[in-house]
Amino acid sequence: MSLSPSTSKMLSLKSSDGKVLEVEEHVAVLCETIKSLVEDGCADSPIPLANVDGATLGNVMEWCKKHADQKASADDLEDWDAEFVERDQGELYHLIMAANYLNIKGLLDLICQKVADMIKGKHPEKIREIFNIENDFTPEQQEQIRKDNSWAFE
Amino acid sequence: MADNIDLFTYLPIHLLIVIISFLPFKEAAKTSILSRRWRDIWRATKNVELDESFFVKPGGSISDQKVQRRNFLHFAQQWIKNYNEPAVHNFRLAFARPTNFHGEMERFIAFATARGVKALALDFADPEWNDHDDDFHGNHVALFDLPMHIYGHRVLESLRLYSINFLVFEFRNFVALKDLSLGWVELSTSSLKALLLNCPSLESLSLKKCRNMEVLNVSAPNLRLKRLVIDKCSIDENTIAIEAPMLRFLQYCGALSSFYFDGPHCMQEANLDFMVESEFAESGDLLYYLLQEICCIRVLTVCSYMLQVIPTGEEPLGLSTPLHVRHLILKTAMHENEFYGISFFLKSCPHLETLSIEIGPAKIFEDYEPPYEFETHSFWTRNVLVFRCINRTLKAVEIKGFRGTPNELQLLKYLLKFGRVMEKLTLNFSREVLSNGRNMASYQQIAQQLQQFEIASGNLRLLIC
Repeated sequence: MSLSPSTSKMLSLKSSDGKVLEVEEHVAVLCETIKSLVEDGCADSPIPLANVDGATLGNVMEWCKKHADQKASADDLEDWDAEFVERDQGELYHLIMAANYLNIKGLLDLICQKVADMIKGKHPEKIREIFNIENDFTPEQQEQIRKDNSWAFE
Repeated sequence: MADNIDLFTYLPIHLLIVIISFLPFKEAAKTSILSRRWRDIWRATKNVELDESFFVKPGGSISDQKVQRRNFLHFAQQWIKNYNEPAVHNFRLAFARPTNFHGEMERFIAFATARGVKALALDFADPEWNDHDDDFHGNHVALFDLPMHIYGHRVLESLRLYSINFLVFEFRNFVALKDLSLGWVELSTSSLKALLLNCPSLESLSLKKCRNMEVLNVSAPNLRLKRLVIDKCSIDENTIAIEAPMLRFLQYCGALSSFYFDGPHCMQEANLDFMVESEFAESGDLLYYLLQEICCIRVLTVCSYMLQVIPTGEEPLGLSTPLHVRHLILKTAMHENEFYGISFFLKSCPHLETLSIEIGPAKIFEDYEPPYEFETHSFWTRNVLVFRCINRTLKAVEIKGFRGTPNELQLLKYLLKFGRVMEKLTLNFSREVLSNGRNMASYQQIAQQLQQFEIASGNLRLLIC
């Protein structure tokens, strides 16, 4: 029997809150961090992922599973990704941190693009409101920044 | 599940930089005003655009523009000097009439290549060239040669060259190039052929106002091209031959041409615009042949010229092999000269699910001859044929630029009367003020009449926006 993805080796991943997730190796190695552990032969016991909580790890592996699927077409993936990023800011934050820690460029870019889209075309006041950013400039400082970069604010 | 925290409060700076690198440069610069933490983050963006139009205002006096151009150059020099990041992903430089500034331009470009730029856009076309469509055969000589060191920059994935001379045979170094745009440049048939041979990874090709081609021939062994955009190129023999088995998207804007598709293709979407044509011609057969060649597409956009000319062919009423189109976009003036054309497409798209009608000004040909005589006011209401898509598959109709003219109303009357499975009608009003004083408020008032029309679907939502 040939080694198809369905018979591929399983890896155990342990999240920061102690949850253990069984994931097929060909899915988990989309995370460069895990891939190098596997390549170095350090992936036997549950791999501890101290910076990723169980819920986020579940989401990350869902993304990896979809993107490891050879049968998914580019159009499919695009639609699927568009739905995947429809999340609240807390979840987006945890996904960015996890994608960064696990070194998954595709996922990091996807979430960062989503956040950039939330900023794009919006007035600074609106951006502050959406992301709860406190304006800690004095009116004079603010005026100075506008003046220094007047080309961008015209 | 997760707590709803404020995203930006906790993200480390290096990840904020990843985020703002997805913003256009100007928008990234605007984030400097958000708070102290944000003030300088944009200076590390990996998406750098040095575009003189940020500084040079159109329509200003020559002396004003001269000062503005100097300000731009000063800004660009300072910006580059203060940039501390090791890598730039995207770099765009736009500067018209570069003749006396070659040194500056080459330094800007070297800044990007030294940082491993992957997407490089160099635009030396004059923005004013865009506004004069009548000289689209005009001879805007490229005044800048692509610096030689670029040809050694093998990591390039995306390259746009507008009004720049380049050496085709050196393109063989661009082994990673997926996306290529060329504009305002001479491109002979043999140069294009060599380009395609030299760039085997190419997935997207855009040719804008390229000139001096005898025929436009897009073919090469193992071509992986998925997207092709041809925009107002001058092609002597008005012949376009495409052999691209992976091609999914075609956008064409230009003179009416003969299209030849060699071999199979899996095209999904086409946008065809022949509005540069200034005269009416009985070229229906040419258009008919083109549509038959691309009958597998799912999304089709056609222009008013197509609607007026398609009924002049031997089959004036519809295609014998129907299109697989699910979404049809008509760019129309909703003039009666376009009625037979609209009807042609409704008949030829038996699986149509979404119909978008984008109403705007279009060239209407006075010497238009309909295939059969008809009464303008009753084309869509008297002795009409109900096409398969209308009562079986058409779910959504969107009208952009609605003005409530009698022609628009009678087509809507037809769609509502027979559109049994229609779920949504979206009306988006024109901002235009007509010569009879009608404006948006009057269009909205006219739209009220739709409530009185006979409506076949029990499930229709009317959205007005």
